[in-house]
Amino acid sequence: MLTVCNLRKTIDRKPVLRQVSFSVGPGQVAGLVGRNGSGKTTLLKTMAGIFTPDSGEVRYGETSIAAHPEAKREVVFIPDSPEALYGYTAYGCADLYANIYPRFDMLFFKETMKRFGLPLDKNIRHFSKGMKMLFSTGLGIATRAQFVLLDEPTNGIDPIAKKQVLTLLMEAAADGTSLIISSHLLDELERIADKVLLLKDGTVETYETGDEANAGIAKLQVVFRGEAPAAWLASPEVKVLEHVGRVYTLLVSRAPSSSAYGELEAMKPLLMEPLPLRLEDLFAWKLGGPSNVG
Amino acid sequence: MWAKALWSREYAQARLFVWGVPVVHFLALGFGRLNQWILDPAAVGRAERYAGSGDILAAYQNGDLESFGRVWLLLAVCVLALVQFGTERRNGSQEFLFSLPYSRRRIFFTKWLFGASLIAGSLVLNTAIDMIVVAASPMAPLFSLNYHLTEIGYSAALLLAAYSAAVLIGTVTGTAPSQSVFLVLLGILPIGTYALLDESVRIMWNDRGFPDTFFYEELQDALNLSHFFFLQHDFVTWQKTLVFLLLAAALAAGGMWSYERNKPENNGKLILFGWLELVCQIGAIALASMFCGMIGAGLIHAGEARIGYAVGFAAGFAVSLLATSRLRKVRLKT
Repeated sequence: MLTVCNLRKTIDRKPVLRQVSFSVGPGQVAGLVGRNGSGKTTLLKTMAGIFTPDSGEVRYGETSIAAHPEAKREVVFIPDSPEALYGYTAYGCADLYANIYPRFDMLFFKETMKRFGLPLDKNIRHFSKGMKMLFSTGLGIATRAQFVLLDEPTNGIDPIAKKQVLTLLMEAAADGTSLIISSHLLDELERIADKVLLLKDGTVETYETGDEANAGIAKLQVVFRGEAPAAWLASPEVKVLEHVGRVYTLLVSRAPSSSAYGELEAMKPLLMEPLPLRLEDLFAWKLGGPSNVG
Repeated sequence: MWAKALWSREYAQARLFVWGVPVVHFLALGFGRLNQWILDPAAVGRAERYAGSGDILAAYQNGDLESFGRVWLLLAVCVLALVQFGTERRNGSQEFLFSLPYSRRRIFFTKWLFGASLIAGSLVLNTAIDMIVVAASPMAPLFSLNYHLTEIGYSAALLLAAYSAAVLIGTVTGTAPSQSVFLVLLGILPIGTYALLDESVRIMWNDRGFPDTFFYEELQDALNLSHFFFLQHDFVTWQKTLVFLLLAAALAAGGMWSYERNKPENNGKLILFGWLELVCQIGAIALASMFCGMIGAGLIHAGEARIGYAVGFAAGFAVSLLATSRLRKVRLKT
């Protein structure tokens, strides 16, 4: 179990993380989502021991990572660019990692490189963006560490490379590796993540994927009788996702304290059809809209 | 404390130094001796003259080869410290190292030991070559093991102290450029500050500056750091060697303390620690004010020099306050 406990981090006097707490179990895949600048990279870097938290701690099992850095043999961080390894060939990197991570699987690494057509003897500086991310992901998984933290592994790469990276990640998850993936690609995350860590205002809300009740919102397609109730639609407990003709696609709060859903039922609309809640909807609801996303 | 991965990482980062430093050191010391005492046709006659006079030191110090060797090594270890600490902040290497399953203390210690080993290795190798050259040359009758041991001990201690200082600066500065600037300043600031204070006292208080006493002469020698690299063998003592070793240990401990507290999120700032930023700002303003005061005293001849000094001092204070306040906000791209 990787546990983040009351983590606080301030950068340039701005609190980026405030009392962040969550845990990720063995074999779980967690998607870390949030608006640009919300602190996703800061959270991952703090979990990896790169940044020192102002307070709180990250524990692998019962072991504090800050006090016992050797525990990081089970927690590997893959940044969004392998710039620190420029100057090495792919094989040179693997050799370096084999000296660091005792269970490094060289056979898996070589097979992965071969499978995706990545040269072992070429300086990774000269790899394309997609090749770099495939290489980094393969290298991280080959460590056979229990937890792999990935910072935007599919950012800025073409659809084919993106599919290959996701294939690698899904295979690793199937083999029991726990992944924490920061990404704006909500569709992809939805497919592979067991839980979603939603970072907003320096805190993390955790949602199990598929557990709509936990989200506290309903997604509905609605056709009102007569004129649409403008005041009700403008309520902070209602979000209009789409409006085509008389058909509204809405997110409506189902929190116990909210009366919006009951009010809608009382209006007896012509159509009130529940739709499956997607991660994108949750993102829009919690983080205020789809702008700056993706 | 041995971590093969960290050593191989340091080697990969600074392999040029591992091969280049001993070669450059050899060109300065061993090859210089070879030129003087074997290749030069006049060597035999010169050796006979020195042997006749029995002046071992004069023979050894012909050309001041040890000093040049020390200066080259100084330049090399300063650049090495820059590569190990300054440039790695820019290319993501520091974050990579901090993400590995090693403590920061261990990472720092490996880096420092790498540099220290390079200094020791180059000194041992080149002193051995130097001894062989001397023993095989017409100068052989003047061979002095004590001379070689004293020189290697002093050079090692001095260079370790210089390297540790460069490393300490690397751990408190957030960019390679600011590390370079502070390294240069370290060389000139002690004696420069003395000169500024001396001149300020002379203009403002007593027309003489600091007293011409033994203490002040010794103080000037101690503050003139370059003279330690050009120290003649007569003045090389084991006490000095011990002082530099202790200094090296203290500076390395300071570097380790600072490295353990480094915040990578501050990389790109000129100085990583807020309190040190303030100390440096106050120091820079004080020095700039005194410097401008001296210029003012030289330029303005209205009455006493004090008036010109005061005007220059005030102008320097204002300008340096503004400039350093802006510099504190600078954040270079990392």
